[in-house]
Amino acid sequence: MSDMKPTLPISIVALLVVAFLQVPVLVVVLTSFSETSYLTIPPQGWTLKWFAEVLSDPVYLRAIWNSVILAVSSTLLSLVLGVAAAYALFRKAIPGSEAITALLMAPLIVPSVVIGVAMLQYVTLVGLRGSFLVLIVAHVVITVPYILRSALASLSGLDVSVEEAARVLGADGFTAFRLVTLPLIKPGLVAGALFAFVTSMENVPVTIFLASARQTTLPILIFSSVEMGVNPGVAAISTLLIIATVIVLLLAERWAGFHKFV
Amino acid sequence: MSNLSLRNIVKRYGKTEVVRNASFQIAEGEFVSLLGPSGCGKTTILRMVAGLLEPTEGQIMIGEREVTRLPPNKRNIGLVFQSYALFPHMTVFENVAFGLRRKGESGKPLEERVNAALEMVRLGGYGARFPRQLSGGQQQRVSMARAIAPRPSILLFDEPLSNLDAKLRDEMQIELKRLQQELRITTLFVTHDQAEALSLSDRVGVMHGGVIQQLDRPEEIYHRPANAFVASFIGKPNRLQGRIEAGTVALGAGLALRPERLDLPEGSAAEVFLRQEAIRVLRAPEPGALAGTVALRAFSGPQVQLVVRLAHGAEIVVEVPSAEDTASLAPGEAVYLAIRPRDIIVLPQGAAS
Repeated sequence: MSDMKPTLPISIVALLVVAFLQVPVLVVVLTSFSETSYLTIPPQGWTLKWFAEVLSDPVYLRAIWNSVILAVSSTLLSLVLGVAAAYALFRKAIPGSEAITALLMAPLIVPSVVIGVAMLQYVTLVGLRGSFLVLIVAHVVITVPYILRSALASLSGLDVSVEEAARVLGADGFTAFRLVTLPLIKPGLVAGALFAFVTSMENVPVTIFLASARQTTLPILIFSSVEMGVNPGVAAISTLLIIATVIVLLLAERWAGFHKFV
Repeated sequence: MSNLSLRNIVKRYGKTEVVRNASFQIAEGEFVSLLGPSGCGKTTILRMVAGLLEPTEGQIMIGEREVTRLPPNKRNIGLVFQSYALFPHMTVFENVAFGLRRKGESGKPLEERVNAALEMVRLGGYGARFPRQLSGGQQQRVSMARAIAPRPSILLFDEPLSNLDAKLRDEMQIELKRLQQELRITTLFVTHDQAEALSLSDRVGVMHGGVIQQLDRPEEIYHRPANAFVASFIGKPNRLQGRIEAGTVALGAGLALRPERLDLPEGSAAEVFLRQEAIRVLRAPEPGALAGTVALRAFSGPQVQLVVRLAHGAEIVVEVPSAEDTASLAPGEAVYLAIRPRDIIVLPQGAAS
């Protein structure tokens, strides 16, 4: 059954669904090239001035910078913490390990707004409100589940005796992990890190409660710009985001066989 | 190279005792197998020797050094896994070099020793390949080369041949024997395959329920099992009930067996173990032979199996080579079973099994 080719009507329906879902993306990309100062389809004339405008606007540049720093640092921190947690939860006999896993995975299920509000109250209470570090911690909370999930999946697909072999051959615990286990779970970790990065990069509901004016991130900026009325500048920055995402995905695919983990 | 000794080793998980008070010694260069059904504790012992598990009680010594609580990397041990456990992201060369590099070897000497180890398992020239490009048998040979390359003081095998198909297993068994004789390295081999254990080992320890039932030379294990478990686990034995009467084991209905040795008191209940392969099938009676009739016949190529019903009702399974005249015996025909006195294994009834 599985190698049967879909019938023609099904293929047509599937293509239409894909097209329908991708139309907004196409619209955004096309309008970002329009010469008019309002969004229009088809675009009137062709210009790159909106890209130039966005990329020379210090507000946008600041937001891009904030977002990148935030996403990179929270992803790296999540990698370290998530992999360590997954290793301990999977390999060691830890009492209550299922409860701990559920707790760490909870941000996937709990609405982000709730996390945002909760974090805000908490940091206000401990007097850390407005610190960029708080923003990083918050993003670690919401990105750790992606790392944990892919690390657990990778570890469970790994023969435990491979690491034991390294231990018996004279490697201490950390060396065995570094030389054997880590390279073998790397593809899964790349996939998880990518999800974590994108999650941090696009997050609005948690960030909006915690970011001060100077800490505005790109999605927050886009969000508030749209409130003032959509202009092709927003479309241009969105187009840049789409291109960046595609490039990152292609690199991940080449480097780690990303499709196997999605 | 050094000897290995276990002293009163106990391993408990909660209240379950997986290994109960195991004590034995493997002399320098000796090859000892632990043989037993799955769950008997043999792999647990091996993993404790390797340092992958910590014993609940007892001591493990390698030579003069106590290693009971040392981590695996401080024990200088070679271990060959059932699953090969090769590093899939490294070439064959790097797999074999792994242990040597941990000892700080590099450059030319490292290269020479890796290649020597690969030569030894007849995989010279395979260094640049990755494990996934090799067959199962080749992968297991790489894993042996990897284990012996750093010159461990003890070599451990955890069911190394059970993932291979039957034909390859026979080849690898010979390979293993050759390797062990060349290296004369102290070896502990764990398996559930008795033919493997008997043919490879200097001594075999038969395990059951966390206890080493008997640790002895293969011939002793086979011909003089210490108890009913060993007798029924090794070979394909028939088990009969009897009573000691006048230096014989009386089976009932006038049938009796006269074993070479009989240590049981007169009148006590006994169990007799007769190996299928130790029974000769005759068409004509002979002094001491048991009379019976063929109840069933099954042809399996080189062998014919006959189920013979004895005069007192018990059934015995015997194996006859297909080339023998008696292989053509049909159900219903009269038959006589002759057993050499030394092949009659008599044990007290009701003893631990």
